[in-house]
Amino acid sequence: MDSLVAVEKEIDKALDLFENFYDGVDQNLNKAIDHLVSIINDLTKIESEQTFKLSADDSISMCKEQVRELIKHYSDKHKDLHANISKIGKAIDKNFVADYGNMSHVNLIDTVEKKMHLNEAICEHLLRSGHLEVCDTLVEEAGLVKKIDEDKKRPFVQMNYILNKLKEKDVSPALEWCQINCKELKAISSNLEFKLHRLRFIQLIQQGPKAQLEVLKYSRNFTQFANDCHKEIQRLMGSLIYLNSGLENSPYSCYLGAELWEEIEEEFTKNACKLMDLPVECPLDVCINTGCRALPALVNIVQVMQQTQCGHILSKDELPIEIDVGQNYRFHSVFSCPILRQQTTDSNPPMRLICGHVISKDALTKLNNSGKNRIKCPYCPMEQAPGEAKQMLF
Amino acid sequence: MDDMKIIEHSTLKVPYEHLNKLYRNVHKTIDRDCSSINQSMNQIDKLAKSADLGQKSELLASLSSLVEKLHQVKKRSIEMRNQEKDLIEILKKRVNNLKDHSSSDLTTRKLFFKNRLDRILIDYFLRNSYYLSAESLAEKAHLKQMTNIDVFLIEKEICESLESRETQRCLNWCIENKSKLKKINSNLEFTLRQQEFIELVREQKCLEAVHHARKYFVNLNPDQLVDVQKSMVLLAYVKCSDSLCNQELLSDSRWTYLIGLFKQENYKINQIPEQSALETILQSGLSALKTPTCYQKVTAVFNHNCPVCNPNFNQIAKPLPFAYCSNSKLIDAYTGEAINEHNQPMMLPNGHVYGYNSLVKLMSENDGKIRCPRSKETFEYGEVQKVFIL
Repeated sequence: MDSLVAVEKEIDKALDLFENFYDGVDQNLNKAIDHLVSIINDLTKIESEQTFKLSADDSISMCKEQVRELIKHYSDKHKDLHANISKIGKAIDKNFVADYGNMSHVNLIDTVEKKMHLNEAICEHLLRSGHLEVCDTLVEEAGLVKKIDEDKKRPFVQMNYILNKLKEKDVSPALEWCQINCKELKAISSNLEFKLHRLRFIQLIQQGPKAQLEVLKYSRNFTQFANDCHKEIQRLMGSLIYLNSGLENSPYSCYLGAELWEEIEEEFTKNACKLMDLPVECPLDVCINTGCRALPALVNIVQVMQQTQCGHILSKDELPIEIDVGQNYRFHSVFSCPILRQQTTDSNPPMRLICGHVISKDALTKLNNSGKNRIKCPYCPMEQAPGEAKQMLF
Repeated sequence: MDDMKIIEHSTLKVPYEHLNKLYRNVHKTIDRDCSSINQSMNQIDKLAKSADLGQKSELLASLSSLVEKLHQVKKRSIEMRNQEKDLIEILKKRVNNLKDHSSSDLTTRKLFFKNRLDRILIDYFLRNSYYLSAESLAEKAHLKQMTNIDVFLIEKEICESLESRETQRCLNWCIENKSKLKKINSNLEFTLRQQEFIELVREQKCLEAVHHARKYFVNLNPDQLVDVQKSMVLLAYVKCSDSLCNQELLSDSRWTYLIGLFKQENYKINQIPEQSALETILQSGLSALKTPTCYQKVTAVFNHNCPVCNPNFNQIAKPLPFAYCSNSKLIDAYTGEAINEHNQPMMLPNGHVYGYNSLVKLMSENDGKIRCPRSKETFEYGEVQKVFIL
């Protein structure tokens, strides 16, 4: 943030100086023009030879001085402004890292195939964010016509339509969708339909006493949820008391918050993606968010490694430092053997000892190198035979 | 150091370079105007010193023309003032836009990140010549001012002219940016002249080719000399169409090389990084998310949400390093919940591990017995063994 402040300071300074400079130039030019015009007028009037010569000489030498001053000011002062402009450039260089700090090492997209994969991923992102025309243009320009056809687009188009309607606080398309997919939603025990009905109910209550009959009629929709959500239904029916005076000053004012609408959009996206077997968050988004989070730490390491000439971090098997991606972005279990500090794989699986502690198979083999068929757990006094360890599957 | 410092350098540097370029042009114009005014003034001075009534009209005429000149200079200076001011304003607008990165309001921040991804995509589109997509996205996302589309549109024109085997536009560009290209020791102009020579020989205009060489192959450094020697051999083999040397110099790939070289130099002098932001960030992101499970080194339940398991990114992330993990991070295979001290790991007799919460859930769904979601075998709670992960 302070990096932006520093750059902004220089920019503002430059703006001021430029303003002053050009104001000055304008003034000087106007003065010179006026002076010259008056000289012309004076000389035109003169008829006598003598006065003409004197006048001409006098006024023109004065004018010459003025014009010289003007030229000097124009050129020199503009030259001075260059210092301020280069200060802006220096502020940018000082406060920002150029060239991504030499992070870019591998040419990631080096084959036509990989480019196609990346373009496909970008198309998915564009479809999810509702930029359908941009996706179509990209499909044409990048030659993806076969890969991204109507079938692929349809679910996203529908999803975007429903989400846009939800943004306008219209729940009917979403409810329609729920009714069509009722069975599947039940299978994933989703209460999306109930939440949508709830929002509509609250909308009707906000219309005041004239909607009384409609509200009561609408509440019949809750019957199907009587078993699962009876507590919430009780609360909703209770809020009817405030039909006349409005919910704003009632204990039920929480129903008026915008969070409910934001929550329903998220809930709908989650359910729709689950039903369609799609990832909840666009893969490109996840990668970019993680990448931005990881960049500062990685750039630091690259700088350090450059000094010790260990090669670039992206050419190694494993990153040199741990990046905390956050619990939301942990998709697979990773077991790191506490003894050998290696990640376990199928060829080197985690093994549970009798005492309950877990180490990798390689570590187990190392502990057994004396061949005595008796090993002691590294973490407690329990002894056992190596064959008694059980392979685990996370 | 935060990610904004790393990603947004060129966002600010490119308009700064434009400002610099404009400043230099403005200064040239100012110098020209000043010297012309000076000239006129000196003339008038001379006239005035030796003037008599007879030359009055001449003197008055020169004075009027000077006034006319000053008016024009004034008009030009207003134009230049607006131009310089506009460029500085663009810079200021971008700085203001970037301030949203650290805004205290979550919605503003979310919008900033969304716009950032769109900007990164627009930059990627421009670099790969998907100009229509870039313009379309810039319009839809209202980001035209934050992108460097104009630099790429100029590049587009020149690349198109190079593709149609025309060198003039590119040469004009080289002359325009002569000083900057010299600073980076660019070989572009020489390579263009060499290509012109080759084209002349291809059309069998050998005498013209020799004239061309005499004119342009001057002041060469040792590497360029070697290239010239190779091209000169072409003159000898001009009738012989299938000799080895001809194939290399006459091939179309030289034009592709030229286009690539031009793009490279264009990026350098405009302070645009060589690799796109998208690729750089993807490298870091994919690497940080890459686990052996994504590449079938570990048997596990397929997780839809993992981007690296997504077929598109799976191919792309193959050459990247795996993420480094110093402590075990486990998630439950049934519910996806984290397994930690609040949700302790339990092992079934078949070796599968689940969190305690999942076991509770499984028991409630199956009359107090545990049915392993993966192997479908049923177990009693008593058969479950506790596991200690350090």
